[in-house]
Amino acid sequence: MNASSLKILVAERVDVISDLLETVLTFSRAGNVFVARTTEHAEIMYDMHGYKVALIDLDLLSAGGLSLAQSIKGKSHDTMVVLMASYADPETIDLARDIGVDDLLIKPFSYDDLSNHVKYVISRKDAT
Amino acid sequence: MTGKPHYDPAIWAEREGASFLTEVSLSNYMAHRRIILRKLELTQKAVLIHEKRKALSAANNILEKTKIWLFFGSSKSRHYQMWGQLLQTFISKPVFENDLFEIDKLLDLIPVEIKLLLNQCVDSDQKYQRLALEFNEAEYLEAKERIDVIQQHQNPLTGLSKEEYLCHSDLLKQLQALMFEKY
Repeated sequence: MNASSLKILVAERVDVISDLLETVLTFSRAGNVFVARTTEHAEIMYDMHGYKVALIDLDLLSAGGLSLAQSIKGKSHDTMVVLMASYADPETIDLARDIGVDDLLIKPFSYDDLSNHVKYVISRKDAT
Repeated sequence: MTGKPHYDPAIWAEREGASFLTEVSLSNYMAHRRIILRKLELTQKAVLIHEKRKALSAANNILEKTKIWLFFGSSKSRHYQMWGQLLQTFISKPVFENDLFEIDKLLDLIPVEIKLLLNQCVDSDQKYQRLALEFNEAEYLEAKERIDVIQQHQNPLTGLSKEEYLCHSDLLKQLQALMFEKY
């Protein structure tokens, strides 16, 4: 997780978590981090900047994280999507897989978990 | 991995407190990282003071002493620069949670004369003292333990285990190499 040119979108509904994600990812020189708190906001930002990695809260405000993930994957398969969830039923996970979501980060998580999952999707992207 | 990964409902056991535990974990990680960074900076300072004192005690005249003052004032000391490189690595690369605890333990092993200087630097450093107040180690370790239980489960989307996600850093090796050089 050391690619300063990497653009990362954090779409998270809980302010304190989105702020912390921005801080730890920026402090770790993971890349340039952009934060959105609603689906609409994230969509606009995605269309403006494009991102290599999108960390998306499943319970994102308004349309929800799965809708955003589907929209992003529909626009570009180059963006690696990591869904963050404190709960997801089996059907939601199947749907996420069908949409092309690359990884699932279970909440609660630590810095190491976050770092390892981001590295995992970046390595998958590099391998393709 | 073939077929659909196993779905274990126990993975959501911390559903209610998920945001809180994530907040505790990430905020204390940041506080810990800032503390260790400050401690490394203060160690670099202690090393410089120690080297300067050692050089001054061996100097025979005022000209030699002046040169030593100028030399250390310009931070050209080899050890000072090596600590600077280590600090740069610490700042520019990801540092894992346990690495922070290991770095702290390693700093306890520095030569005793530098350790005394470091302790003085730490005690008198307001920034370090302020950072120490932000770090709640007991709360952090408890959150880490509960999170680890959750993260030990197989990932229901990718089917990967925690071990298969693990990455390692080389920061500790670099610090060990630096610390076990002779002063």
